[in-house]
Amino acid sequence: MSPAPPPDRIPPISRDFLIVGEGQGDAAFVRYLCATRKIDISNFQIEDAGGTGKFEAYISGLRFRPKFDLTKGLLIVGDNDDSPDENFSNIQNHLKKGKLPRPAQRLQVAKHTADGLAVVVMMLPYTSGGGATRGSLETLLLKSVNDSYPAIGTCIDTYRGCIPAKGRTNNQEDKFRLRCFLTALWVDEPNISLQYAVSPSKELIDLNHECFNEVAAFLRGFANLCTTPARV
Amino acid sequence: MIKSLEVKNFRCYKNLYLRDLKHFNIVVGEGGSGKTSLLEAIFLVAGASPEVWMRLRQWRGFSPIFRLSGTRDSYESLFRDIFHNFEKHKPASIRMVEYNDRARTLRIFYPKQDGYSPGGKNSNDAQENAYLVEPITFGWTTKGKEQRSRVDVKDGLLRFSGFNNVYPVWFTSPAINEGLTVATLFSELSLKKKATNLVNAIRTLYPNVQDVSVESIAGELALCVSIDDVPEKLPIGTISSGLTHFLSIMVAIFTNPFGVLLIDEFEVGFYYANLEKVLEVIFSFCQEHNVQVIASTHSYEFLRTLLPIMKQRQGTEYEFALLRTQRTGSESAIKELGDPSAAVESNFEVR
Repeated sequence: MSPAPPPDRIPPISRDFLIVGEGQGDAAFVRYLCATRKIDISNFQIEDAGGTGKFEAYISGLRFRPKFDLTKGLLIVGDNDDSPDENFSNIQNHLKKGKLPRPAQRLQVAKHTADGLAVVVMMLPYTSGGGATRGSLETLLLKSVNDSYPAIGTCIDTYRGCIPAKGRTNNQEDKFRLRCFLTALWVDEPNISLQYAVSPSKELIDLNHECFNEVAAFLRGFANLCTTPARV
Repeated sequence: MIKSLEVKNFRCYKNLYLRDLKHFNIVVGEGGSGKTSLLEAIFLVAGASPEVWMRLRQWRGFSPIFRLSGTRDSYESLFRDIFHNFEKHKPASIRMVEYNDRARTLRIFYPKQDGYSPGGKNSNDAQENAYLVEPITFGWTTKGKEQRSRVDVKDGLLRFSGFNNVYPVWFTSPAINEGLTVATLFSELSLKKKATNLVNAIRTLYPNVQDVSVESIAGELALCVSIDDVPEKLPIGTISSGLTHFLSIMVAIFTNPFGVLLIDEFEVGFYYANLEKVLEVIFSFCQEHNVQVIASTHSYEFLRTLLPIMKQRQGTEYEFALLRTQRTGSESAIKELGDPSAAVESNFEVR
Protein backbone atom coordinates (compact mmCIF):
# COMPACT_ATOMS: atom_id res chain seq x y z
CA MET A 1 0.00 0.00 0.00
CA SER A 2 1.34 3.43 -0.90
CA PRO A 3 1.84 5.87 1.95
CA ALA A 4 -0.65 8.71 2.26
CA PRO A 5 0.48 11.91 0.55
CA PRO A 6 2.00 14.43 2.94
CA PRO A 7 -0.39 17.13 4.16
CA ASP A 8 -0.14 20.65 2.81
CA ARG A 9 2.89 22.52 3.98
CA ILE A 10 2.59 25.72 5.94
CA PRO A 11 4.21 28.34 3.71
CA PRO A 12 7.51 30.01 4.57
CA ILE A 13 7.48 33.15 6.69
CA SER A 14 7.28 36.24 4.54
CA ARG A 15 6.13 38.98 6.95
CA ASP A 16 7.66 40.77 9.94
CA PHE A 17 4.95 39.72 12.39
CA LEU A 18 3.47 36.30 12.94
CA ILE A 19 0.12 35.73 14.64
CA VAL A 20 -0.67 32.15 15.54
CA GLY A 21 -4.13 31.01 16.56
CA GLU A 22 -4.50 27.80 18.52
CA GLY A 23 -7.13 26.59 16.09
CA GLN A 24 -8.49 27.59 12.70
CA GLY A 25 -11.31 29.53 14.37
CA ASP A 26 -8.88 31.67 16.38
CA ALA A 27 -6.81 32.51 13.31
CA ALA A 28 -9.87 33.29 11.19
CA PHE A 29 -11.29 35.47 13.97
CA VAL A 30 -8.09 37.57 14.10
CA ARG A 31 -7.99 37.82 10.31
CA TYR A 32 -11.64 38.93 9.95
CA LEU A 33 -11.55 41.20 13.00
CA CYS A 34 -8.58 43.06 11.53
CA ALA A 35 -10.34 43.33 8.17
CA THR A 36 -13.57 44.61 9.78
CA ARG A 37 -11.78 47.11 12.02
CA LYS A 38 -9.45 48.19 9.19
CA ILE A 39 -6.33 47.17 11.07
CA ASP A 40 -3.38 47.07 8.70
CA ILE A 41 -2.22 43.46 8.53
CA SER A 42 -0.10 43.78 5.41
CA ASN A 43 2.94 42.97 7.53
CA PHE A 44 1.23 40.21 9.53
CA GLN A 45 1.24 36.52 8.70
CA ILE A 46 -1.72 34.85 10.39
CA GLU A 47 -1.70 31.08 10.84
CA ASP A 48 -3.28 28.43 12.99
CA ALA A 49 -1.52 25.65 14.86
CA GLY A 50 -4.15 23.05 13.96
CA GLY A 51 -5.73 22.71 17.40
CA THR A 52 -4.75 22.17 21.01
CA GLY A 53 -3.09 18.82 20.33
CA LYS A 54 -0.74 20.34 17.75
CA PHE A 55 0.06 23.55 19.61
CA GLU A 56 3.20 22.19 21.25
CA ALA A 57 4.77 20.86 18.05
CA TYR A 58 3.85 24.06 16.22
CA ILE A 59 5.39 26.43 18.76
CA SER A 60 8.47 24.32 19.42
CA GLY A 61 9.05 23.88 15.69
CA LEU A 62 8.81 27.56 14.79
CA ARG A 63 12.52 28.33 14.95
CA PHE A 64 13.22 25.74 12.23
CA ARG A 65 11.39 27.80 9.64
CA PRO A 66 13.57 29.65 7.17
CA LYS A 67 13.65 33.39 7.91
CA PHE A 68 12.00 32.96 11.30
CA ASP A 69 15.06 34.69 12.76
CA LEU A 70 13.98 37.83 10.87
CA THR A 71 10.53 37.83 12.49
CA LYS A 72 10.05 40.85 14.75
CA GLY A 73 6.96 39.83 16.66
CA LEU A 74 5.09 36.65 17.49
CA LEU A 75 1.59 36.76 18.96
CA ILE A 76 0.17 33.49 20.20
CA VAL A 77 -3.60 33.39 20.60
CA GLY A 78 -4.81 30.61 22.87
CA ASP A 79 -7.97 29.73 24.75
CA ASN A 80 -8.32 29.80 28.53
CA ASP A 81 -10.99 27.08 28.50
CA ASP A 82 -11.74 25.92 32.03
CA SER A 83 -8.15 26.12 33.24
CA PRO A 84 -6.72 29.55 32.35
CA ASP A 85 -3.52 29.24 34.39
CA GLU A 86 -2.74 25.74 33.19
CA ASN A 87 -3.35 26.64 29.56
CA PHE A 88 -1.14 29.73 29.78
CA SER A 89 1.53 27.73 31.56
CA ASN A 90 1.38 25.10 28.79
CA ILE A 91 2.05 27.77 26.19
CA GLN A 92 4.97 29.04 28.28
CA ASN A 93 6.38 25.50 28.30
CA HIS A 94 5.94 25.15 24.55
CA LEU A 95 7.86 28.42 24.11
CA LYS A 96 10.61 27.16 26.38
CA LYS A 97 10.85 23.92 24.43
CA GLY A 98 11.03 25.93 21.22
CA LYS A 99 13.86 28.06 22.70
CA LEU A 100 11.73 31.19 22.26
CA PRO A 101 11.30 34.13 24.66
CA ARG A 102 8.76 33.28 27.34
CA PRO A 103 6.49 36.02 28.73
CA ALA A 104 5.80 35.77 32.45
CA GLN A 105 2.27 37.13 32.05
CA ARG A 106 -0.45 37.31 29.44
CA LEU A 107 -0.12 40.30 27.08
CA GLN A 108 3.43 40.93 28.31
CA VAL A 109 6.30 41.25 25.83
CA ALA A 110 9.26 38.88 26.23
CA LYS A 111 12.53 39.13 24.29
CA HIS A 112 15.87 37.35 24.43
CA THR A 113 17.72 40.42 23.18
CA ALA A 114 16.66 44.06 23.02
CA ASP A 115 16.27 44.00 19.23
CA GLY A 116 15.28 40.35 18.99
CA LEU A 117 11.98 38.56 18.52
CA ALA A 118 9.14 39.87 20.72
CA VAL A 119 6.76 37.20 21.96
CA VAL A 120 3.31 37.96 23.39
CA VAL A 121 0.59 35.53 24.47
CA MET A 122 -3.07 36.56 24.28
CA MET A 123 -5.57 34.25 25.93
CA LEU A 124 -9.24 34.32 24.97
CA PRO A 125 -11.67 35.48 26.13
CA TYR A 126 -9.64 38.67 26.29
CA THR A 127 -9.32 40.10 29.77
CA SER A 128 -8.05 43.64 30.28
CA GLY A 129 -4.64 43.99 31.82
CA GLY A 130 -3.68 40.40 31.16
CA GLY A 131 -6.02 38.83 33.72
CA ALA A 132 -7.67 35.46 33.24
CA THR A 133 -11.30 34.44 32.78
CA ARG A 134 -12.64 30.98 32.06
CA GLY A 135 -13.83 30.57 28.51
CA SER A 136 -12.64 30.66 24.96
CA LEU A 137 -13.14 32.40 21.63
CA GLU A 138 -16.70 31.07 21.68
CA THR A 139 -17.38 32.97 24.93
CA LEU A 140 -16.48 36.20 23.18
CA LEU A 141 -18.42 35.42 20.02
CA LEU A 142 -21.48 34.45 22.05
CA LYS A 143 -21.76 37.96 23.48
CA SER A 144 -21.99 39.40 19.99
CA VAL A 145 -24.41 36.86 18.56
CA ASN A 146 -26.64 37.06 21.66
CA ASP A 147 -27.05 40.79 21.16
CA SER A 148 -27.63 40.45 17.43
CA TYR A 149 -30.27 37.72 17.70
CA PRO A 150 -31.99 38.03 21.11
CA ALA A 151 -35.13 36.16 20.01
CA ILE A 152 -33.11 33.07 19.07
CA GLY A 153 -31.29 33.43 22.38
CA THR A 154 -34.62 33.11 24.20
CA CYS A 155 -35.46 29.94 22.25
CA ILE A 156 -32.05 28.49 23.07
CA ASP A 157 -32.71 29.22 26.77
CA THR A 158 -35.93 27.21 26.52
CA TYR A 159 -34.22 24.36 24.66
CA ARG A 160 -31.41 24.46 27.22
CA GLY A 161 -33.99 23.82 29.93
CA CYS A 162 -35.23 20.67 28.17
CA ILE A 163 -31.95 18.82 27.81
CA PRO A 164 -29.61 17.16 30.30
CA ALA A 165 -26.61 19.34 31.06
CA LYS A 166 -25.14 17.73 34.11
CA GLY A 167 -21.39 18.18 34.37
CA ARG A 168 -21.16 20.75 31.61
CA THR A 169 -18.66 23.48 32.45
CA ASN A 170 -19.27 27.18 31.76
CA ASN A 171 -16.93 26.98 28.79
CA GLN A 172 -18.78 23.96 27.40
CA GLU A 173 -22.01 25.81 28.03
CA ASP A 174 -20.77 28.74 25.93
CA LYS A 175 -19.76 26.39 23.13
CA PHE A 176 -23.14 24.66 23.27
CA ARG A 177 -25.04 27.96 23.06
CA LEU A 178 -22.92 29.30 20.20
CA ARG A 179 -23.34 26.05 18.27
CA CYS A 180 -27.12 26.36 18.69
CA PHE A 181 -27.04 29.91 17.31
CA LEU A 182 -24.90 28.97 14.33
CA THR A 183 -26.95 25.90 13.51
CA ALA A 184 -30.16 27.89 13.73
CA LEU A 185 -28.91 30.77 11.63
CA TRP A 186 -26.89 29.09 8.89
CA VAL A 187 -29.34 27.00 6.96
CA ASP A 188 -26.99 25.82 4.20
CA GLU A 189 -24.62 24.09 6.60
CA PRO A 190 -26.00 23.57 10.11
CA ASN A 191 -22.61 22.21 11.13
CA ILE A 192 -20.77 25.33 9.96
CA SER A 193 -17.33 25.56 11.55
CA LEU A 194 -16.09 28.55 13.48
CA GLN A 195 -13.50 29.54 10.90
CA TYR A 196 -16.30 30.15 8.36
CA ALA A 197 -18.87 31.41 10.85
CA VAL A 198 -16.71 34.40 11.80
CA SER A 199 -16.53 35.59 8.20
CA PRO A 200 -18.35 38.95 7.88
CA SER A 201 -19.89 37.71 4.62
CA LYS A 202 -21.95 35.21 6.60
CA GLU A 203 -23.41 38.00 8.77
CA LEU A 204 -23.56 35.70 11.79
CA ILE A 205 -21.10 37.46 14.09
CA ASP A 206 -20.96 41.23 14.31
CA LEU A 207 -17.25 41.90 14.59
CA ASN A 208 -17.98 45.57 15.28
CA HIS A 209 -19.59 44.59 18.58
CA GLU A 210 -18.07 46.34 21.56
CA CYS A 211 -17.00 43.04 23.12
CA PHE A 212 -14.22 42.87 20.53
CA ASN A 213 -12.98 46.42 21.10
CA GLU A 214 -10.15 45.52 23.43
CA VAL A 215 -8.88 42.70 21.23
CA ALA A 216 -8.99 45.01 18.22
CA ALA A 217 -7.13 47.75 20.09
CA PHE A 218 -4.47 45.27 21.14
CA LEU A 219 -4.00 43.98 17.59
CA ARG A 220 -3.80 47.54 16.28
CA GLY A 221 -0.95 48.30 18.65
CA PHE A 222 0.79 44.95 18.44
CA ALA A 223 3.52 45.93 15.96
CA ASN A 224 4.42 49.01 18.04
CA LEU A 225 4.37 46.97 21.22
CA CYS A 226 6.95 44.60 19.72
CA THR A 227 9.36 47.37 18.87
CA THR A 228 9.19 49.25 22.17
CA PRO A 229 11.82 48.43 24.79
CA ALA A 230 10.86 45.49 26.92
CA ARG A 231 12.29 43.42 29.70
CA VAL A 232 14.91 41.10 28.22
CA MET B 1 32.02 10.23 15.46
CA ILE B 2 32.50 13.89 14.62
CA LYS B 3 31.37 16.32 17.32
CA SER B 4 32.51 19.65 15.90
CA LEU B 5 33.85 21.04 12.67
CA GLU B 6 35.70 24.25 11.92
CA VAL B 7 36.21 25.37 8.34
CA LYS B 8 38.19 28.43 7.29
CA ASN B 9 38.75 29.89 3.84
CA PHE B 10 37.39 26.79 2.09
CA ARG B 11 35.06 27.14 -0.92
CA CYS B 12 32.05 29.26 0.15
CA TYR B 13 33.00 29.14 3.83
CA LYS B 14 35.11 32.00 5.11
CA ASN B 15 34.67 30.96 8.69
CA LEU B 16 32.39 28.18 9.81
CA TYR B 17 32.05 26.49 13.18
CA LEU B 18 29.64 23.64 13.84
CA ARG B 19 29.78 22.83 17.50
CA ASP B 20 27.27 20.07 18.01
CA LEU B 21 26.94 17.49 15.27
CA LYS B 22 24.66 14.61 16.16
CA HIS B 23 24.61 10.98 15.13
CA PHE B 24 22.28 11.78 12.22
CA ASN B 25 22.55 15.19 10.58
CA ILE B 26 20.32 16.42 7.79
CA VAL B 27 21.59 19.37 5.76
CA VAL B 28 19.06 21.58 3.97
CA GLY B 29 19.32 24.88 2.17
CA GLU B 30 18.94 26.52 -1.21
CA GLY B 31 20.96 25.35 -4.19
CA GLY B 32 24.45 26.87 -4.10
CA SER B 33 24.28 27.62 -0.38
CA GLY B 34 27.09 25.24 0.59
CA LYS B 35 25.54 21.84 1.34
CA THR B 36 27.88 19.87 -0.91
CA SER B 37 30.86 22.02 0.13
CA LEU B 38 30.23 21.05 3.75
CA LEU B 39 30.32 17.36 2.82
CA GLU B 40 33.43 17.95 0.73
CA ALA B 41 35.18 19.65 3.65
CA ILE B 42 34.58 16.58 5.82
CA PHE B 43 35.66 14.24 3.03
CA LEU B 44 38.89 16.20 2.54
CA VAL B 45 39.88 16.40 6.19
CA ALA B 46 39.29 12.66 6.47
CA GLY B 47 41.44 11.97 3.41
CA ALA B 48 44.93 10.67 2.95
CA SER B 49 46.35 12.62 0.04
CA PRO B 50 45.56 15.51 -2.31
CA GLU B 51 44.22 12.84 -4.65
CA VAL B 52 40.98 13.23 -2.68
CA TRP B 53 40.72 16.77 -4.00
CA MET B 54 41.16 15.52 -7.56
CA ARG B 55 38.24 13.12 -6.97
CA LEU B 56 36.07 15.95 -5.68
CA ARG B 57 36.86 17.92 -8.84
CA GLN B 58 35.64 15.03 -10.95
CA TRP B 59 32.46 14.72 -8.92
CA ARG B 60 31.91 18.43 -9.51
CA GLY B 61 31.97 17.75 -13.24
CA PHE B 62 35.62 18.26 -14.21
CA SER B 63 37.22 15.71 -16.49
CA PRO B 64 39.75 13.29 -14.96
CA ILE B 65 42.00 14.14 -17.89
CA PHE B 66 43.45 17.62 -17.96
CA ARG B 67 46.32 19.35 -19.69
CA LEU B 68 48.62 21.79 -17.95
CA SER B 69 50.35 24.40 -20.04
CA GLY B 70 53.32 24.55 -17.70
CA THR B 71 52.49 27.96 -16.34
CA ARG B 72 51.84 28.76 -12.72
CA ASP B 73 48.29 29.87 -13.56
CA SER B 74 47.59 26.58 -15.30
CA TYR B 75 48.84 24.57 -12.30
CA GLU B 76 46.99 26.70 -9.77
CA SER B 77 43.77 26.52 -11.76
CA LEU B 78 43.43 22.96 -10.48
CA PHE B 79 43.17 24.25 -6.92
CA ARG B 80 41.86 27.80 -7.18
CA ASP B 81 38.31 26.93 -6.05
CA ILE B 82 39.58 25.36 -2.83
CA PHE B 83 40.02 28.85 -1.41
CA HIS B 84 37.16 31.13 -0.37
CA ASN B 85 36.92 33.93 -2.93
CA PHE B 86 40.02 32.38 -4.56
CA GLU B 87 42.18 33.85 -1.79
CA LYS B 88 45.06 31.42 -2.23
CA HIS B 89 47.46 33.44 -0.07
CA LYS B 90 45.51 32.46 3.04
CA PRO B 91 45.53 28.77 3.95
CA ALA B 92 42.30 26.83 3.81
CA SER B 93 41.82 24.81 6.96
CA ILE B 94 39.38 22.17 8.11
CA ARG B 95 39.41 20.85 11.65
CA MET B 96 37.17 18.16 13.04
CA VAL B 97 36.98 17.02 16.64
CA GLU B 98 35.52 13.67 17.59
CA TYR B 99 33.32 12.97 20.59
CA ASN B 100 36.38 11.49 22.31
CA ASP B 101 38.18 14.85 21.77
CA ARG B 102 40.57 13.51 19.15
CA ALA B 103 41.18 16.17 16.55
CA ARG B 104 42.16 16.01 12.91
CA THR B 105 43.12 19.07 10.90
CA LEU B 106 43.85 19.70 7.26
CA ARG B 107 45.64 22.81 6.10
CA ILE B 108 45.95 23.54 2.39
CA PHE B 109 48.43 26.21 1.41
CA TYR B 110 51.13 27.37 -0.97
CA PRO B 111 54.47 27.47 0.88
CA LYS B 112 56.36 30.35 -0.68
CA GLN B 113 59.85 28.93 -0.27
CA ASP B 114 59.31 25.85 -2.42
CA GLY B 115 58.83 27.50 -5.79
CA TYR B 116 60.27 25.79 -8.79
CA SER B 117 59.63 25.68 -12.47
CA PRO B 118 57.89 22.51 -13.67
CA GLY B 119 60.53 22.39 -16.40
CA GLY B 120 63.16 22.07 -13.70
CA LYS B 121 64.70 25.49 -14.20
CA ASN B 122 64.71 27.52 -11.00
CA SER B 123 64.56 31.20 -11.52
CA ASN B 124 63.80 34.39 -9.68
CA ASP B 125 63.59 36.33 -12.87
CA ALA B 126 60.35 38.28 -12.96
CA GLN B 127 59.84 37.35 -16.59
CA GLU B 128 59.83 33.68 -15.69
CA ASN B 129 57.59 33.99 -12.63
CA ALA B 130 54.68 32.89 -14.74
CA TYR B 131 56.38 29.51 -14.85
CA LEU B 132 57.42 29.44 -11.21
CA VAL B 133 55.15 26.95 -9.56
CA GLU B 134 54.75 26.82 -5.81
CA PRO B 135 53.53 23.26 -5.19
CA ILE B 136 50.36 23.28 -3.16
CA THR B 137 50.69 21.46 0.13
CA PHE B 138 48.08 19.51 2.05
CA GLY B 139 49.03 19.07 5.70
CA TRP B 140 47.02 16.67 7.86
CA THR B 141 47.56 16.94 11.59
CA THR B 142 46.60 14.05 13.84
CA LYS B 143 47.83 13.45 17.38
CA GLY B 144 49.69 16.76 17.20
CA LYS B 145 51.84 15.68 14.25
CA GLU B 146 51.50 17.17 10.77
CA GLN B 147 52.07 15.03 7.73
CA ARG B 148 52.44 16.98 4.53
CA SER B 149 51.65 15.96 1.01
CA ARG B 150 52.68 18.07 -1.97
CA VAL B 151 51.27 18.09 -5.43
CA ASP B 152 54.25 18.19 -7.74
CA VAL B 153 54.40 18.26 -11.50
CA LYS B 154 57.10 15.89 -12.69
CA ASP B 155 57.59 14.68 -16.23
CA GLY B 156 54.19 15.97 -17.22
CA LEU B 157 52.40 14.10 -14.43
CA LEU B 158 50.92 15.19 -11.12
CA ARG B 159 52.59 13.43 -8.22
CA PHE B 160 51.34 13.30 -4.67
CA SER B 161 53.84 12.75 -1.88
CA GLY B 162 53.49 11.65 1.74
CA PHE B 163 50.30 9.72 2.26
CA ASN B 164 48.55 10.17 5.57
CA ASN B 165 46.30 7.87 7.59
CA VAL B 166 42.60 8.09 6.74
CA TYR B 167 39.52 8.64 8.84
CA PRO B 168 36.70 6.28 7.80
CA VAL B 169 34.42 8.47 5.70
CA TRP B 170 32.36 7.46 2.68
CA PHE B 171 30.93 10.03 0.28
CA THR B 172 28.03 9.12 -1.96
CA SER B 173 26.22 11.37 -4.39
CA PRO B 174 24.20 11.01 -7.59
CA ALA B 175 27.18 12.60 -9.34
CA ILE B 176 29.53 9.83 -8.26
CA ASN B 177 29.88 6.66 -10.28
CA GLU B 178 31.31 4.33 -7.70
CA GLY B 179 30.33 1.00 -9.25
CA LEU B 180 33.83 -0.47 -9.23
CA THR B 181 34.55 0.64 -5.65
CA VAL B 182 31.25 -0.77 -4.41
CA ALA B 183 31.90 -4.04 -6.26
CA THR B 184 35.39 -4.28 -4.77
CA LEU B 185 34.20 -3.60 -1.24
CA PHE B 186 31.31 -6.02 -1.61
CA SER B 187 33.78 -8.65 -2.78
CA GLU B 188 35.91 -8.03 0.33
CA LEU B 189 32.84 -8.47 2.54
CA SER B 190 31.86 -11.60 0.64
CA LEU B 191 35.33 -13.13 1.00
CA LYS B 192 35.06 -12.64 4.74
CA LYS B 193 31.57 -14.19 4.66
CA LYS B 194 30.12 -10.94 5.95
CA ALA B 195 27.91 -10.13 2.99
CA THR B 196 24.94 -12.29 4.03
CA ASN B 197 23.39 -9.66 6.31
CA LEU B 198 23.77 -7.08 3.61
CA VAL B 199 22.05 -9.28 1.03
CA ASN B 200 19.26 -10.01 3.51
CA ALA B 201 18.80 -6.28 4.08
CA ILE B 202 18.51 -5.78 0.33
CA ARG B 203 15.93 -8.54 0.11
CA THR B 204 13.73 -6.91 2.74
CA LEU B 205 13.32 -4.02 0.34
CA TYR B 206 13.63 -5.78 -2.97
CA PRO B 207 12.14 -9.25 -2.31
CA ASN B 208 12.60 -10.36 -5.92
CA VAL B 209 16.39 -10.18 -5.48
CA GLN B 210 17.70 -13.71 -4.89
CA ASP B 211 21.36 -12.98 -4.53
CA VAL B 212 24.08 -10.38 -5.10
CA SER B 213 27.52 -11.21 -6.45
CA VAL B 214 30.55 -9.64 -8.07
CA GLU B 215 31.07 -10.73 -11.66
CA SER B 216 33.52 -9.88 -14.41
CA ILE B 217 31.86 -8.25 -17.40
CA ALA B 218 34.22 -7.70 -20.32
CA GLY B 219 37.04 -7.76 -17.78
CA GLU B 220 35.45 -5.18 -15.50
CA LEU B 221 34.21 -6.04 -12.04
CA ALA B 222 30.53 -5.33 -11.60
CA LEU B 223 27.98 -5.98 -8.90
CA CYS B 224 25.25 -8.23 -10.29
CA VAL B 225 21.97 -9.50 -8.93
CA SER B 226 19.94 -12.62 -9.50
CA ILE B 227 16.28 -11.75 -9.84
CA ASP B 228 13.23 -14.00 -9.79
CA ASP B 229 12.10 -15.07 -13.27
CA VAL B 230 15.13 -13.53 -15.03
CA PRO B 231 17.30 -16.30 -16.56
CA GLU B 232 20.69 -14.55 -16.12
CA LYS B 233 22.27 -12.23 -13.58
CA LEU B 234 21.93 -8.53 -14.26
CA PRO B 235 24.43 -5.76 -13.54
CA ILE B 236 22.90 -3.76 -10.73
CA GLY B 237 23.20 -0.47 -12.57
CA THR B 238 20.85 -1.71 -15.27
CA ILE B 239 18.03 -2.51 -12.85
CA SER B 240 17.34 0.53 -10.71
CA SER B 241 19.21 3.63 -9.68
CA GLY B 242 17.44 3.34 -6.32
CA LEU B 243 18.79 -0.16 -5.79
CA THR B 244 22.28 1.00 -6.84
CA HIS B 245 22.09 3.96 -4.45
CA PHE B 246 20.79 1.76 -1.64
CA LEU B 247 23.48 -0.85 -2.17
CA SER B 248 26.19 1.76 -2.26
CA ILE B 249 24.99 3.18 1.07
CA MET B 250 24.66 -0.27 2.63
CA VAL B 251 28.16 -1.31 1.51
CA ALA B 252 29.47 1.95 2.98
CA ILE B 253 27.78 1.18 6.31
CA PHE B 254 29.04 -2.40 6.45
CA THR B 255 32.62 -1.48 5.52
CA ASN B 256 32.91 1.71 7.65
CA PRO B 257 31.83 0.81 11.18
CA PHE B 258 32.40 3.77 13.53
CA GLY B 259 32.83 5.91 10.43
CA VAL B 260 30.96 8.73 8.77
CA LEU B 261 28.61 8.45 5.84
CA LEU B 262 28.25 11.58 3.72
CA ILE B 263 25.25 11.44 1.41
CA ASP B 264 24.54 14.21 -1.06
CA GLU B 265 20.89 14.38 -2.14
CA PHE B 266 19.84 11.35 -0.11
CA GLU B 267 16.44 10.93 -1.74
CA VAL B 268 17.61 10.68 -5.34
CA GLY B 269 16.69 7.40 -7.01
CA PHE B 270 14.29 6.09 -4.37
CA TYR B 271 10.69 5.40 -5.33
CA TYR B 272 8.42 7.35 -2.97
CA ALA B 273 6.44 4.31 -1.81
CA ASN B 274 9.66 2.53 -0.79
CA LEU B 275 11.20 5.51 0.93
CA GLU B 276 9.92 4.77 4.42
CA LYS B 277 11.30 1.23 4.37
CA VAL B 278 14.56 2.35 2.75
CA LEU B 279 15.14 4.93 5.46
CA GLU B 280 14.19 2.54 8.23
CA VAL B 281 16.70 -0.03 7.01
CA ILE B 282 19.51 2.49 6.40
CA PHE B 283 19.19 4.26 9.75
CA SER B 284 18.81 1.00 11.67
CA PHE B 285 22.01 -0.37 10.14
CA CYS B 286 23.82 2.94 10.72
CA GLN B 287 22.84 2.66 14.35
CA GLU B 288 23.90 -0.98 14.55
CA HIS B 289 27.30 -0.24 12.97
CA ASN B 290 27.75 3.10 14.76
CA VAL B 291 27.92 5.04 11.54
CA GLN B 292 27.34 8.78 11.73
CA VAL B 293 25.33 10.25 8.86
CA ILE B 294 25.62 13.72 7.39
CA ALA B 295 23.19 13.91 4.49
CA SER B 296 21.85 16.69 2.33
CA THR B 297 18.35 16.80 0.91
CA HIS B 298 16.07 19.03 -1.12
CA SER B 299 13.06 16.83 -0.48
CA TYR B 300 10.19 17.67 1.84
CA GLU B 301 8.84 14.17 1.30
CA PHE B 302 12.14 12.76 2.55
CA LEU B 303 11.92 14.82 5.75
CA ARG B 304 8.29 13.88 6.22
CA THR B 305 9.09 10.19 5.77
CA LEU B 306 11.94 10.52 8.23
CA LEU B 307 9.63 11.88 10.94
CA PRO B 308 8.73 8.60 12.70
CA ILE B 309 12.39 7.53 12.56
CA MET B 310 13.45 10.82 14.17
CA LYS B 311 10.76 10.61 16.84
CA GLN B 312 11.71 7.06 17.75
CA ARG B 313 15.25 8.21 18.48
CA GLN B 314 14.44 11.30 20.53
CA GLY B 315 16.24 11.29 23.85
CA THR B 316 18.66 8.57 22.73
CA GLU B 317 22.26 8.91 21.60
CA TYR B 318 21.05 8.47 18.01
CA GLU B 319 19.46 11.88 17.72
CA PHE B 320 18.84 13.86 14.58
CA ALA B 321 19.82 17.45 13.89
CA LEU B 322 18.88 19.81 11.11
CA LEU B 323 21.58 22.01 9.63
CA ARG B 324 20.52 24.81 7.30
CA THR B 325 23.01 26.38 4.92
CA GLN B 326 22.47 30.00 3.95
CA ARG B 327 24.44 32.07 1.52
CA THR B 328 24.85 35.83 1.67
CA GLY B 329 26.98 37.21 -1.15
CA SER B 330 30.03 35.03 -1.52
CA GLU B 331 29.85 33.68 2.00
CA SER B 332 27.90 30.75 3.40
CA ALA B 333 26.89 30.05 6.95
CA ILE B 334 25.19 27.12 8.64
CA LYS B 335 22.61 27.17 11.38
CA GLU B 336 22.55 24.22 13.76
CA LEU B 337 18.88 23.81 14.55
CA GLY B 338 18.65 20.58 16.51
CA ASP B 339 15.96 17.91 16.18
CA PRO B 340 13.45 19.10 13.56
CA SER B 341 10.67 16.62 14.41
CA ALA B 342 8.27 19.23 15.80
CA ALA B 343 8.70 21.45 12.75
CA VAL B 344 8.23 18.61 10.28
CA GLU B 345 5.24 17.36 12.27
CA SER B 346 3.73 20.84 12.00
CA ASN B 347 4.19 20.75 8.22
CA PHE B 348 6.52 23.71 8.24
CA GLU B 349 8.65 24.36 5.24
CA VAL B 350 12.06 23.84 6.83
CA ARG B 351 14.29 23.40 3.81
